[in-house]
Amino acid sequence: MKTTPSITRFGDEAIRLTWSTKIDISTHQLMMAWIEILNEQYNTYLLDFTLSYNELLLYIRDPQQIHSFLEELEQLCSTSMKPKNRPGETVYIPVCYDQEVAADLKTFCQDKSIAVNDLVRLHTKVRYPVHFIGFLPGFPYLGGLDKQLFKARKSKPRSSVPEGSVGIAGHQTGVYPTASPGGWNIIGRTPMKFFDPESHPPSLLKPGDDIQFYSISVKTFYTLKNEIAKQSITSLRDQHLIYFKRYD
Amino acid sequence: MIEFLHAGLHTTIQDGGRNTYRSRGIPVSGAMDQQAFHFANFLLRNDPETPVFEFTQQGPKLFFHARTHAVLTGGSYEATLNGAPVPYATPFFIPAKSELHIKHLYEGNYGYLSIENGFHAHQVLGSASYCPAVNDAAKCKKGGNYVFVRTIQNYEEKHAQVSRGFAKQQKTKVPVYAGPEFDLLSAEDQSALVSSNFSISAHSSRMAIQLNHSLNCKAEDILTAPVQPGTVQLTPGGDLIVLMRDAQTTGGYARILQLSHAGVNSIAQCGVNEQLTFSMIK
Repeated sequence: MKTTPSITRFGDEAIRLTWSTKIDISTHQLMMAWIEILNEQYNTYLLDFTLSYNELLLYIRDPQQIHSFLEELEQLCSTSMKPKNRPGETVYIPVCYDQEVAADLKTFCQDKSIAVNDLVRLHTKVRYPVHFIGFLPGFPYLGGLDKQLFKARKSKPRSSVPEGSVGIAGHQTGVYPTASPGGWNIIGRTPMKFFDPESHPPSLLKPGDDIQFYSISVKTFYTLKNEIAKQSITSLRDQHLIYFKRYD
Repeated sequence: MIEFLHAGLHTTIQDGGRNTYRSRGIPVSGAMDQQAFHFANFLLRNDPETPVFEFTQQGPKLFFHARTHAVLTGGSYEATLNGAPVPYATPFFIPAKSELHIKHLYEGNYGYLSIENGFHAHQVLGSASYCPAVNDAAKCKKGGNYVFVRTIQNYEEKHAQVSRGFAKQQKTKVPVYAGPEFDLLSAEDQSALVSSNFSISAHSSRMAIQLNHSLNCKAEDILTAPVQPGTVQLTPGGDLIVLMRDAQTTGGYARILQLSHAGVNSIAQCGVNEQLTFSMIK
């Protein structure tokens, strides 16, 4: 596998690092290594970044410095970069897989000729790496979905998908952090908050985290949802510590 | 204190935007025309990033309880202070208990009102800018009020009136770079993109501007990848979309062009049906 990215300018203010692979965990680990080094050593240039499966977009503080930053990146490219091992921290996410809170669950199982129990087993057995956050504030793009659960987006997107909805689109699974129009097949719903602009940090997950879903009943879903709504949370990770222990 | 008697069509608080949370999926937001925003603060000798009011199409009606200075920039519109016209792009004095009425924009899309030393605005993730689901409180409503520190500066009347406080020219030529997927287009489509006329569709917002066009090109979806304000996307159905300040941070459509920084400010001020062309930056 080619481990060095190609480096190109993208507009006045950003530089793109691109890897030739598609969805691949070792590319992701290489990108995490790049991010760590850039954050530590190139802070004078780097204002912010966006990443995806195989692209890292670097935003520069001072657009006049774009040429010298390009040169520095070319040099960095010639040094050998080791993939960064994932920190191994896993966030556990309770999900209610029930038609009452997941509008596409029945149709999904019928179309795939699969029992709900099997869907739950296949969806909860994987520890999913968070490749990146995009689409909506706090929306995680996860790798590793079992191929028996692959299903194309709905041909007609819903005008509003409730917050916390767990969906499948193509080879991906993810969670809607806020209510939004969307075309993913909704198979479950979590009571956990994934995004809160007043929290620090504002999203539950970051690139490099892992998540694991576990199944809860409709009753537990509503109990947890009410409790989380009542609680004032300063860190989104705290809600997980409080509720995970108490109910399961 | 400033009190909103009428909010106008879509008046929001804006500044330079959220520039360090893209990896959490949070849009940049900020003033649509950054040049007009910075110009307003410059004229008042404010800190360049001081939050301002951004209004569109129909401006707000405001009541000032205390005296201050203010500046108006952005698109072309009329404004009155207690019934008398106020200058454009020039600091003007607002006595206590005054009513400022900003009328409809007849040219350009976005106007800016900056207050001397700014006003108190709720900050979320390092910015006061309105963004749906991130800072909903920054949308101005009738009855809403904002506290400011009473004026102390003296502005001499030496500022010559500037004819235009924003970047737009007649028949806007928008400077663009080739985008990451530009090379996937045929040579014909590539040259058509820089020789054709486009116009602004009514389906335009702070998130994205859709372009009317007569090109016959399409592009396959791509693996979800980073986008930024000013990215021009081409959909499998042939739609051309220019992403703007409130756009999502990643997208699945081909990124065929990227507007320059100035190009984003400029297209933000193009009205519905207004014509424009792209000019490639070499």
